[in-house]
Amino acid sequence: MSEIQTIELAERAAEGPAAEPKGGRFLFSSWHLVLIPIAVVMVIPLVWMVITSLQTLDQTRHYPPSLVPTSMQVRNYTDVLQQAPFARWFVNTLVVTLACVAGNLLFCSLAGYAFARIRFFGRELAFILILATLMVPFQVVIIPTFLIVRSLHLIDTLGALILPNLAGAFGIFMLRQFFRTLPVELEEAARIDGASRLGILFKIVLPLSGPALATLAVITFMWTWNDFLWPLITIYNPNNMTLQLGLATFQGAHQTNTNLLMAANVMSMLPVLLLFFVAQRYFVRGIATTGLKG
Amino acid sequence: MAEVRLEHVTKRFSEDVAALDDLTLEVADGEFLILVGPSGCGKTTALRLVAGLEKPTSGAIAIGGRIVNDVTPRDRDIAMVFQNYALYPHMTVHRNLAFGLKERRTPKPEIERRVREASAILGLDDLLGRRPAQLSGGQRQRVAMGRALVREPKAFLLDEPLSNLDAKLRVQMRAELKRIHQRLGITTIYVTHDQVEAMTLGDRIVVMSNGRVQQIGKPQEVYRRPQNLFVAGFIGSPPMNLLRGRCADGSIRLGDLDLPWSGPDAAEVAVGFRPEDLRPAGDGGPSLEFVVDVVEPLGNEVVVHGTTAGTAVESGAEEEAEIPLVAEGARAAITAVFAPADEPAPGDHMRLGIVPDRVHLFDLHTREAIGR
Amino acid sequence: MAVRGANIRRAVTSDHVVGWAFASPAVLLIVVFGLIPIVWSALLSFQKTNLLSPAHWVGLANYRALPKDPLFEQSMVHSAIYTVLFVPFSVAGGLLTAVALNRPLRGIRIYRTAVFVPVVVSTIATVIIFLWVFDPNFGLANWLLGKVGLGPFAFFTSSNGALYSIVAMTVWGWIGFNVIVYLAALQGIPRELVEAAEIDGAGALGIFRNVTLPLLGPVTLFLVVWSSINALQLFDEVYLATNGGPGTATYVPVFYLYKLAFQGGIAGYAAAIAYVLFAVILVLTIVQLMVGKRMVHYAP
Repeated sequence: MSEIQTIELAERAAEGPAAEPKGGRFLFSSWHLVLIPIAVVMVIPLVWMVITSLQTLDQTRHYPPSLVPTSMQVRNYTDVLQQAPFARWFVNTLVVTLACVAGNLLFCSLAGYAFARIRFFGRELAFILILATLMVPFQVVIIPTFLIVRSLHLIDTLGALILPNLAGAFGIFMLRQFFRTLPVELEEAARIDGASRLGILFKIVLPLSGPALATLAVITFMWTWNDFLWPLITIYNPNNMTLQLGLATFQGAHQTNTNLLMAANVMSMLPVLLLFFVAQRYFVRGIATTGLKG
Repeated sequence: MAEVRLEHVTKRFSEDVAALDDLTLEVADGEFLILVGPSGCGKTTALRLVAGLEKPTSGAIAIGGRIVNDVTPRDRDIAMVFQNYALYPHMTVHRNLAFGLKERRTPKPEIERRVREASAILGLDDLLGRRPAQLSGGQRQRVAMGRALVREPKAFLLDEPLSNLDAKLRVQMRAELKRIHQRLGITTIYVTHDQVEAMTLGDRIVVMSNGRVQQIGKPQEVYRRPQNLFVAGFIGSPPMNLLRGRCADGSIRLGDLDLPWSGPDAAEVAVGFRPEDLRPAGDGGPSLEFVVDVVEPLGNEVVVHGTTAGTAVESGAEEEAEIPLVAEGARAAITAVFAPADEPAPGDHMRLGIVPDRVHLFDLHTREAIGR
Repeated sequence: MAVRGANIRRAVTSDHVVGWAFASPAVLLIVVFGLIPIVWSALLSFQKTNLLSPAHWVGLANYRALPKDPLFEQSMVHSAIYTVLFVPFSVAGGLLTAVALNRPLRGIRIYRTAVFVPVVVSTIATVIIFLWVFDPNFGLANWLLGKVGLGPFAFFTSSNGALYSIVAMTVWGWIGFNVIVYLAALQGIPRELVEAAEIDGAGALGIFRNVTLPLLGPVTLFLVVWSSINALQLFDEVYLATNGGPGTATYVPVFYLYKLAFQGGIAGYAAAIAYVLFAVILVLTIVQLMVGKRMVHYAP
């Protein structure tokens, strides 16, 4: 290296620490220009919904529409609660959803564990048949399922919504795959120590399966809460409706009362949004695992 | 000219921890330099800084006479072999080799020529149409090297390229690497935690610990004259025996051992002997009493573990939580290497002969070597 | 005596018994509400029934009637158009958005949340929002489009535009799903591969084309298959936003069969439609997987 280069090198070395922008990297990256429009498009319909839900009827009929809240008519919300059995719908949906989540967690754990770790006669065939049902789209089975539920006299009751969804093939598949990733040695040590299969499942396997169970719970919750077609077919009495079904009928009845409709919509979304913000990690993980294992 | 220089380079990942602390290093054109040290010593960080995958917190880096602090990796004209090879899984071996050249818009006939040459040197001719998933570990390693070779870069950077290979393959590849370097003469910086690799491959080795250079020198030099306790304990397998002693009145005192000493008095020193410098004591000459504990016959030599009266000194290069073999009362565990003919039995009481000019002295406070 | 007891105990706790004991609740539920309906539905498709009076056999009559049914033909065409638009937009859009979101920017969590939220919103709620956003007279869409000189559009009330409005609405609602999956996959790409490509001399576009995109192959295939399956089963949005209209402009197979079975009392024919749709989905999925497997190389 030449003398000049040596001197340059020493000079550069003597310069103090390179200036790193404070407060996180890439403060003014041009990527923000890409992300802001995307985020805006995603969020604006929701924002506008909230704004509309607080307006008077006349204001909704105003063109051009305002993106700035012009009034805070909270009365809309109480009006909705009076005009439709909203609270009832909420409770119905909550009962059905929680029952389905509990059912799935319990029955899919039991079955998933059996398929993963217990060798029993007919296991392979049973598993393949269960997987096969995952391939078949819902519309193929709705008519016969309706007939079965009707013969059980469950039509127009919450039972119609709960019973068919107490255990799903998706949950069995997901938990089986997950249980198989746990080290088998743990369970073998427990068996040598004298634990029963049930004991192993509840005391060793399930405690180690927190994330998978949380993910299944969250996915089942979201799917059951948002389900529409099945309640549409099986429930008629407004008092037995779920939130989605109730909302749809409300929309039919109040097409022109946009402000009330938006208020109803906001209220129906809150529980799932709340759950989402609290458990975002599990939502994301659940969706990601379906994608990466699929 | 393709020398690499690091001048007062410091790299911090957080406020209180410096991965590299004021590192100054020069790699001569065509030299094979090895950075060696335990994990976390900063050797990989130094390599990544030269590659441009990280930026130094302060200090300057120059490649081929040009300061490259602000130059992106692709413009530094260097090639890197990663520990996990990082082969493009969806491309054939041929495409893997050609990829870098294609991205640099090298003309096709030139690409073909270089790929064929690298493939010949590394024995990849039969594998050109396969994908990485179809290759063995050793084959993948050679493809990773080939990808670096075709670039004809100013410098090769290798990050523990042999650590994922099994022992036999590793020995083979070591020879390959040396052969390639002798043939092509490209400046090479090689990172490893294995001191045997370091000793056998390097023109010079840089022993590092905690982000600092402990010693730089030719392998033999570092082996014969370790400059501090860390280097003494790190280089050499089995590691050097280190015992407390003192220097007074012209002699080194250690247990019942007395060696002539022409230097100044020192109350607290560490006295070091390499296991291979200890022999069953012949007639006369300084010796150390020794009780044999465990004997490991290796075929061409015998490793003997035992104890002597005294206190051991830690070099700092020990693996965490090393369990000393036996430490009853005031005895220190030491190791010796004998010829097979001298194999002792467990429980034997004997004396170990010491060659005076193979004794290493270290100041216990500064941990530095005391000159002779 | 003790031996008999022990034998019984051993039999009861044998793996076969325990295995079935564990699996039977779930298996029973799936047999009753999954497997039996699948078979029954096939049988129904060969029958004529209004779900109230007893059914009687008509052999292949339902299937033979399908090609001559203009409404069925329209449904399939609409479904095809919808799928061909929905899948590329939502998958490619998801990929580009995920790439943009895969950065250590400040506030990246806010952006990600903004993109994820529409996925959580139910289809019904989404339709209600968009009925309002796409309102021809007072809606936000026409106002904003007017500002850049476009429109006004009739959206759901236009027989030409209704289907495309549904595409736009469902892409909004589902793109977040693809983003989540792509983000997870992007974060699974070994950093060393990108670094090796950087050192080899590839620029940002080169890295994307030669490393990122190929490694995302399996995920892309999955999302295309998944989105296609969901697209062909479109129902909720059609029911609430357009009720199949204007006229029959947005009739799709599931909507059609719903109307037939639960409003028209023509259940056997509806079951036949369901099975034909199933067959289409199956064939399309197989084709996609076969083409995909040849183009995709899984990382070792």
